[in-house]
Order: sequence, then structure tokens, then C-alpha cells
Amino acid sequence: MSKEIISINKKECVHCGICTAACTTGALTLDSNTWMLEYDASKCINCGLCVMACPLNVIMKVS
Amino acid sequence: MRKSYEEINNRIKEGKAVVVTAEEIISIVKEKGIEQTLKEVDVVTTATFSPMCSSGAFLNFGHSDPPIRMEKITLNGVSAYSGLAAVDTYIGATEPSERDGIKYAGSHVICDLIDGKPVHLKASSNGTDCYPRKEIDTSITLDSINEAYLFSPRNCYQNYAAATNSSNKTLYTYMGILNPNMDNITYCTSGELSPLVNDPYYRTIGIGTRIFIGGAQGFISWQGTQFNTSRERSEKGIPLGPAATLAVIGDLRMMNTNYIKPAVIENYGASMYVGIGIPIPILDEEMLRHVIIENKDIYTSVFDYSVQRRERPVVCKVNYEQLRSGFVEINGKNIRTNTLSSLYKSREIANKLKELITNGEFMLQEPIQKFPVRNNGLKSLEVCDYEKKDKVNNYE
Repeated sequence: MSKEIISINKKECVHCGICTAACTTGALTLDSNTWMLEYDASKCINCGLCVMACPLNVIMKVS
Repeated sequence: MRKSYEEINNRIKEGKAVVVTAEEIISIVKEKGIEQTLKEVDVVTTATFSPMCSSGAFLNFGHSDPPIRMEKITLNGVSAYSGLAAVDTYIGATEPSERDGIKYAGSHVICDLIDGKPVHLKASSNGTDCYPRKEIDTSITLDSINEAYLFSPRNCYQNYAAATNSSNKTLYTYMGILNPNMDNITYCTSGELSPLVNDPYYRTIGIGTRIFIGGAQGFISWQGTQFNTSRERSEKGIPLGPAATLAVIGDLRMMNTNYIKPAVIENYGASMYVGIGIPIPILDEEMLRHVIIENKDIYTSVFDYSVQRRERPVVCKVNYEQLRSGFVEINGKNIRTNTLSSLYKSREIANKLKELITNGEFMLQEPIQKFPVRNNGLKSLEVCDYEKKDKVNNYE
């Protein structure tokens, strides 16, 4: 299992999907049934673009 | 078969109303047919949870001793409008703060107030005989002030355009991040769950309709700004682009920041996520046929935002089933799609509204005035030489 590079405050996340536009590797996606945000650490390249894109400031880099 | 508002409200009071969401009604009608569903279902709930920039709140602070006529006002460093009476203000969601810019804006102040947090009020004045104080520096909370209500001049668009970017640089827009070379398409409605899509001719959504807004029970107060019902419509009556809008009102004291949140759109500006739910009474077969609209029948246009003009070129027309699939094919290339509006939260709101109505805690209100089904469209702002063109009102 890949190590998580970002952490998402799931209590505050509204699953809007804006971060998925910033994520060019497909690490962040919305589930097509629940429409909840999903994070696949194996695809994350630690670019940090999602951190900047999140309108609610709920995505943080872990280290 | 027809039902009146009174009959439906009586069923709600008696705890007998059958309420389903605008997503659920589609499969119910497929299973039971129009006639049977019409007998069984009383109300369909719709919802949206999207960034709505044209939002803000009116506040009345109460009078200090000695009193002040506030001429410049800041709340936590965010400038608020002071061109009203002495201690009234309007704080807009997108107004950036002096210190943190868009990272802390009017929408953050509004949500801090809803959360019961203290807010730093600073105001100044030239002083008058009746309002002698010239400065005030104090702390307020939602409980310490008089009126505090959200009043948004434009929320809840009926359909909206989608966006892409054919240029070779990333664009940061109110439609979110648009990657270069048409790498993505962004869109921003809850599709078949969206309120005005389910009542395309405004039979039940009008002035006075009771709505769920930010967790409170509020009302539609007027047609929203940029209300444009001159749009071409599909066979099913859905406008093919941004059309009707709503001006809405609701008490901040009854709101909950689970349903209304400040938003910062990267390199663009501040906004506010506003959660709105609107119940649609199934008055007759026509209303039932409206609320079974599906994503595949709701079309919008994808505009190229790299063209920095009022009129942008249309890249293609798409429906919401395509947008929701994650990809749209353009010229043989699969382009990924991203939403700005939260379907997850929209569903939560539609279900919350369903629960409130089912429990008899939310009654339906018939509009006291209907919106125009077809207006004259929008005017544009033309740039002219004021000095040459308009000397009639020479007040300078």
C-alpha cells in the first residue's frame, strides 16, 4: 500500500471536485456512484496542486 | 388528477405526505408509470450546493452609546458596505480582506457569524450632531446584533455553461482550473437534481416560495439578477444555457455551516458554497412530467475560456450524462470532466428537505407572483465616451 502524501479533512470536505481538476495524475477522483472524493496514494506525485486548488483548505500535505 | 397546495400541506401536517427526491422520482415513474405515481407522490425535493458568488448578508449592529453613523466599516478586516443607515451594512461574499486577500473574505465572515464566533467590528465616521461618535472598535457575535440575514441577489442558476481551455497555459477562472490544450471540461450544476431544471416554466418556483437555504427555511424574494428566460429551450423545455436565477433570503441565525461554506477559488477570488433545496409539489401530470427530467435530456454548451471576450466560442454541446461520465469526446479525444458543484452535498440537502417535509417541519408555500417564462434577455454593458455621450445629467 502506498504511503499517503496528502491528508483530506473528510469532515469538512464537501466533495465538490475542484481538486480533481488540479490533479493531473488521477490520484483524486469522485466516485461515480456516491460522488465522494477518493484518494489513490499510488498515483499521487506530491505536486501539491490539489492543496492550492481546494476552495475549503481541507487538503494538507502530510509531511 | 390534480392536487392543490392546501391538500398537499394537509397531508404534510397529518404526516401522510409522500416525498421523494428528484433522482428517486425517475425510477419510481419507470417502475409504476405516470398515473400511479401521480396518485402516490406529493412532493419532489430538488437541491444544489455550488459556489454562488452573488451572495451576501445584511446586518444591523444596534446603536452604541454615544451612537455612530458608520461611514467606513470592516468586519475582521473585510470591508462592508456603509451607504445605508447608521448601523446597517451589507457584506458581500466575495469581498477580500485587507490582510489576507481572498483567503479570508466576506463569505468567511458570514460563516464565522453563523458559527457563533466573535467578529471584530471597526467603523469610522465624520460625526454628526445626532451621531457624535467618530470611531468604534468592538466585537460582535450573531447573538449580540439585531437582524442578520442572507440576501443573495443571484443564486441557483437554471442550467449553466461548461468550460474548457484551448490555449497552452493554465487558466484560473470562476469555473475552476482549466488546464491547457483542452485537458479538462468543468461544469457546475447538480443536473437532474437541480431546482429550476425540475420546474422549467416556473409553475411552483416563484416569488414567495419557501426554500431550504444554508440549513434555514428561507424564501425566494425576487427573480435573480441576470435572469434570462429568452434562452432557446430543448424539446423538454430545459434552457440550453444559463437562464433563470433566484434572489433568495434566509435568517443567518437558523443556518448551519454544514450547508453554507466559504470558498476560495484559486487565483480567481472568494465565493461561497450555498446549499439550496426547493420542494416541488406534484400538482398534476404536467409537474410530474417535468420532475422526471434526466441528465441525458439536459444539455449545455462547452465554451472556450481562452478567448477573453464576452462572447466565447462554443466548442460543443453536451448533456449532463456525458459530463457525469467523467469524459467527453471531442474530435476523437477523451477530455476529462470535473464538477465544481457537489452532487454529494446536493443529495444530502435533497434528502434533508425530504425528511423535514415528511416530518411535518417544512410546509409548502405557493408563489405569490410568478416569474416571466420569457423575458427580453440580457442587456450588455457597452463602453462609450461618457463625456461625449451623456451630458444630460451634468452633476459633476
